[in-house]
Amino acid sequence: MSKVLVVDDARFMRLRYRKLLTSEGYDVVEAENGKEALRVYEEEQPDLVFLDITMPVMDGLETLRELKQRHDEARVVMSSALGQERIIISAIKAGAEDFVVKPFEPNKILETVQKYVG
Amino acid sequence: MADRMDGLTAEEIAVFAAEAEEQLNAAEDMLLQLESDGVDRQAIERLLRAMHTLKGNAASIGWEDMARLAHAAEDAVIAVRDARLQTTASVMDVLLRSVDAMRAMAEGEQVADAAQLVDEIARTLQTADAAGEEQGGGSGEAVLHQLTEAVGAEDEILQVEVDLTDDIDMPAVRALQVLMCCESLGEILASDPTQKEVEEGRDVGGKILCYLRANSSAEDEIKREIRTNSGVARVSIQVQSAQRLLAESAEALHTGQDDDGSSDKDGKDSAGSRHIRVDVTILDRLMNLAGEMVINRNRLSNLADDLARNSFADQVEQLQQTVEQLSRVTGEVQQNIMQMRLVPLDRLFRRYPRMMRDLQQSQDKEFDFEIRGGQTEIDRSLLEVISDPLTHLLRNAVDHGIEPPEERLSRGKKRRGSVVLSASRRNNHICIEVSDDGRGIDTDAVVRRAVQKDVIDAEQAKQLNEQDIIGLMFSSGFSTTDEVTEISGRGVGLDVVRREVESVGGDISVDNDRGQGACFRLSLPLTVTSVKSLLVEIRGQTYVLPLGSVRETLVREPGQVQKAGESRVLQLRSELIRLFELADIFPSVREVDRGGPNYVVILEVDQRKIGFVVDDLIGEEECVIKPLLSPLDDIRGVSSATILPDGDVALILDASGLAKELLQDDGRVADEQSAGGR
Repeated sequence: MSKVLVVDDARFMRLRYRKLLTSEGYDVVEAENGKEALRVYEEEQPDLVFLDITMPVMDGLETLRELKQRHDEARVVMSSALGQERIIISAIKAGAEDFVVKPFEPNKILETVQKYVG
Repeated sequence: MADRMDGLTAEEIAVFAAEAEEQLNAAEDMLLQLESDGVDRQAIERLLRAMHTLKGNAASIGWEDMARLAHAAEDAVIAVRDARLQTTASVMDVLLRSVDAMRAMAEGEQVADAAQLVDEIARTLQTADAAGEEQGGGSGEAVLHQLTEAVGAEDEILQVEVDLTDDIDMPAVRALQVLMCCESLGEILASDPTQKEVEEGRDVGGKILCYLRANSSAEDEIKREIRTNSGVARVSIQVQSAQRLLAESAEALHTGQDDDGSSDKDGKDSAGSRHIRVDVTILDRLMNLAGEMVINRNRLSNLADDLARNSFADQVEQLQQTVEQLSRVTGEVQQNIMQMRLVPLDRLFRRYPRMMRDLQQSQDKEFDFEIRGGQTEIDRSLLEVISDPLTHLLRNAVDHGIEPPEERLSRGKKRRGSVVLSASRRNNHICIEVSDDGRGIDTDAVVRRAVQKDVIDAEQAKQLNEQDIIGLMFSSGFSTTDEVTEISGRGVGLDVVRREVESVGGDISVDNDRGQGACFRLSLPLTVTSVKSLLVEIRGQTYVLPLGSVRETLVREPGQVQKAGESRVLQLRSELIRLFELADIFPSVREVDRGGPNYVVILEVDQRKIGFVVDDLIGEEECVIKPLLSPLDDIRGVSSATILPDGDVALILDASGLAKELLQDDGRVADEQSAGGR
């Protein structure tokens, strides 16, 4: 079973990811900030990471860079809001695979997971 | 409002509400802090995070009003962070009211003025942004410019065009992904937008154009690879030759201001464009010169006043000085303006490589095409005039000159032929040559054809020398053929070529090396606005002879002229030169017989000399050319008119055209007489 790590400081968002992905048979693990995400990644070795951008402690971009440096194979989809185009551009350049845009759109998220995890 | 929470569990609602309250409280604190303590980075980041989370949460349960308001507030905070927006009382006020409104929404209340708040924030931002707005640039030009820098002439380049899906999120990111994908497949020579532009947040629209020097030439694979990117609706790939792209890029750069996509595709474009770019230093010089002209004009009018009062010698001397200065300045002004009209021939020449390439492919000919001296400058109005003639001559060189490879080999030539288009400046004219190493002109075939077309009769045909025969190819009777034939006569349309070249005071001649190639040479004036000329008098009228073909002038001594049948010839050193009385061609109403000696103006046309008898030589003058309008534009031997220093109008003679016509009419006789001299 493929495992997806959802990193978001908003508990509400994590909840929605979890609900959607578990219903489609994915294993979901969570982290609520970047630091935690790095730790969880190493423990759980997920197949895909949904990474929020705006987070306290360590923001999405910083987390991404750190994660890619430690684990080049990590596949990361940035989870973003409209208006964060510049940050997404930096993220893509830093090695993120793709991005999804909030508001939360179940179909798009599933499509993305399928594309990168199968 | 239970109905707005449809589809959410009690747990979700609770989490949402709690989080909203937390974020809104934080936001309120930070706003107050900003208002009292000024802009503080940490406060702003916290504020942004609050708005961001509120926006995301609200949007994901379909609370559009709240999401929009949080989004607007977020934009405003970003503007504050980027110093695009000041934290004025009214800005803080609208943000605090937004927090209040969101709090009410989160608690399930209907908030009537949410949309109004969004508008208010947007207006505030617009006003703030209006000042800092910068315009984008002509992107097309930029792409082509990058391309010119990057391309070697031999390369094959993939022109990759990608259309993004309509209405996708963050098209810039998709564009970046496409560009990065292209980068992984080869070397990006140029693109629109560039990666840098994308990164800088330039609005990219839904199209990406990328010139790629691919690692592998498997276009399908490249296409497939690009398609895997999200948001890609369509990919098209074309293989382009670098040379063509370069030509296009240069053209686009020169025409410059044309809007990106709409330039003419058929090649009828920039050659005669209405705008030219001018070197600023020339403009500065002109400005100075104009100033000097004004000074001198004022001096002249003062002198005129003085003279009216006094009439003494020192005024006259001053007058002469002033006139001298004025004429120097005007001369320079004229020269500078002339210089501004000059453009490099490359503007025209660069369209030919493509044409030659296509010709090569459509016929079973193999040849190299070379351009030399494209940087030679020429009056811009001439570009237009010579465009068609050159196309014609180049086509002829391929159609009639270059032999098929087998034929070349059997004649002991290299398999690949060669066609060269070259330009150079020679003294006071521009020389453009189209030469090939093909079969040359089969003069026998030309004669046969001329007889067949009734241009000449069989008897005349026997008398013709090589230059006469080549002259035949340019005559209209020979050229106006209704069939394009394989005959090696190159006559098709050459009369038109000649007419066009001569219409601007130019001249055309041919070097023929039968079996080895031919060279068509256009000789063009440097400028078309004025022409250095010899003023002559014929029966009391002044006429203007352009100096281009004038070789010498002499007084007609009675003993030098001999009669040969109907015609007269002049013995000049070892040559016999056919003489014509211009008075016979341009009869005057004023029958003035000056008596006294006559003068002869010797011209050289097509390597043959001819003498025009005139009554007097008045002098040399730089004549400004004034075109003649219908019906005056069709006078035999006259090309245009000018205004003389005394204000009279004089006709400018088409000396070389007239000479050719006279020599051709009279070819047989002249040949008999001059045969020994040549």
